[in-house]
Amino acid sequence: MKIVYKNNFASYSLKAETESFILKSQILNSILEGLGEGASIHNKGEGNYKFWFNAIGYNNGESGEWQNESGKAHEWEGAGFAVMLQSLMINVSEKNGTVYGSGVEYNAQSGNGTGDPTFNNINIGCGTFGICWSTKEIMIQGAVAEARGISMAKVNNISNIRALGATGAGYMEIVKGVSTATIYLGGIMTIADGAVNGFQAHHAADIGIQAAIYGIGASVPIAGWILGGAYFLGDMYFQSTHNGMSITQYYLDGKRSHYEYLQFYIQLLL
Amino acid sequence: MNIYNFIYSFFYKFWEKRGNDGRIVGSAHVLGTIIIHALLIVEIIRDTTGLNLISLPNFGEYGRNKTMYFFLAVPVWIGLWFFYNRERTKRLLKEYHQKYGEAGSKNTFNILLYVVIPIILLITLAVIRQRS
Repeated sequence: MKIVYKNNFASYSLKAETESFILKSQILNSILEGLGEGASIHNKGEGNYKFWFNAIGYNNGESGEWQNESGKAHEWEGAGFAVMLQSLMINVSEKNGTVYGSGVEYNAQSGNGTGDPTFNNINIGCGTFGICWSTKEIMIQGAVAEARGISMAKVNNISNIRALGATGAGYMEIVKGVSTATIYLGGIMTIADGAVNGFQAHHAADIGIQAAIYGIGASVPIAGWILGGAYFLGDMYFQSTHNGMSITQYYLDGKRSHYEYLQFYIQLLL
Repeated sequence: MNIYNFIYSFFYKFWEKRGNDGRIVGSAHVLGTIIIHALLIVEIIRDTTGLNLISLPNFGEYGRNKTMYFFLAVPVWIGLWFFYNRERTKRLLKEYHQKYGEAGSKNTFNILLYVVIPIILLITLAVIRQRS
C-alpha cells in the first residue's frame, strides 16, 4: 500500500501503521461534529473515499484489533504512547489505491478516556501545590511588610531577618532562588524543545514571556519571583486541563493548526 | 577559572544581591548553559554533516515536553547544587573577586558571549534548518 504523506506528521503516521485502533464511536462523533458537516463527510467516505480514523497508542495495558480496508485484522496494544492520545490520524484512500495519510491535532474533550491520567494528575498536583505555595509566600511577604511598616516592594533580606528570624529569611531566599531558577530553566527547556522538535509561534511567545519575567525578577525582585513560580506552575496546571498544551501553544498554535487541518480534509472531500 | 565556574560566580553574585539563594540560581544557570552549549554543538554538527547526535523524546505536545524535560533536568540541577557546595562556592567567589572583581561591564560582555550569543545562535541555526 503506497502512502503519501501530505504534511510533516509522517512520523506520527508511521507509528499509526503499527499501533493504531479504530476510534471509539464517541471520539469519531466528536470529530464529525467538529467538522460541522459530519453526515455528508461520512456518506461521501462510504462512496468515493474510504476513511478510517486512527489514534496513536492508547492507555498502557489496553489492546484490541482493527481491520484495514482489505479486511485484514491488525492487533494493537497500547505501549507507552498514551501521552499522544490527542493526536489522531485520518487516512484518505482513493479508489486507485493511493492513500493520503496525515495527522490532525485533535483537541479532545476532557474525560472520555483521553489524555494521560498519570501525567494529568501529576500536573494538577504540581499546579495546585504551586498556586497554594505562591499564595502563601505572598501572604508571608505581606505580613513582613506590615510588621515592618513598609511596602511589599521594599521588603528585603534585612526586613525578613528582623521579622522572620534568620531561619525564616533563609527559607524566603530559597523560595526566591527556586522560583528564579525555575523560570530560567523553563526557558531553556522551551529552547531545547524548539531546537529538537521544531520552533513554532508559541515557542517564541513562551521565550518572550519567560525572558520578561526573568527581567522583572532582576529589577523588581518580589514581582519577579512570584510571577516566575506562578507562571511555570500555572502553565503546568493549564496543560493538565488542555491535553498537554501549554498556555501559549493552546492560544497561538493549537487552535490554528486544528482549524487548518480541518480545512485540509474538507478540501480533500470537495 | 573555567567558563562554567565564571557563570556560576557571576549569577551567584547577581541574584544573591536580589535576595535569592545564590547556589540554587547559580547551579541552574550552569545547567542551562551546559544544555545550550551541548545543543549548539549538536546543531552545528547536524547542519554540517547531517548527523543528529541527540534525539530527545517527544511526549506529544510542547507543554508535556517542557514539563518532562524539566523534571529530567531536576536531578542534574540538584547534583550541581551539591557540587557547588559552600566551600567550593567560597573558593570560587574569592577567585572571581580577584580576577574579575573590578571588571564591571567586561563581565557582562563575557556573559553575553558565553550564554546569550549561543542561545541566539542555536535558535537561528535551528530555525534555518527547519525552514530549509
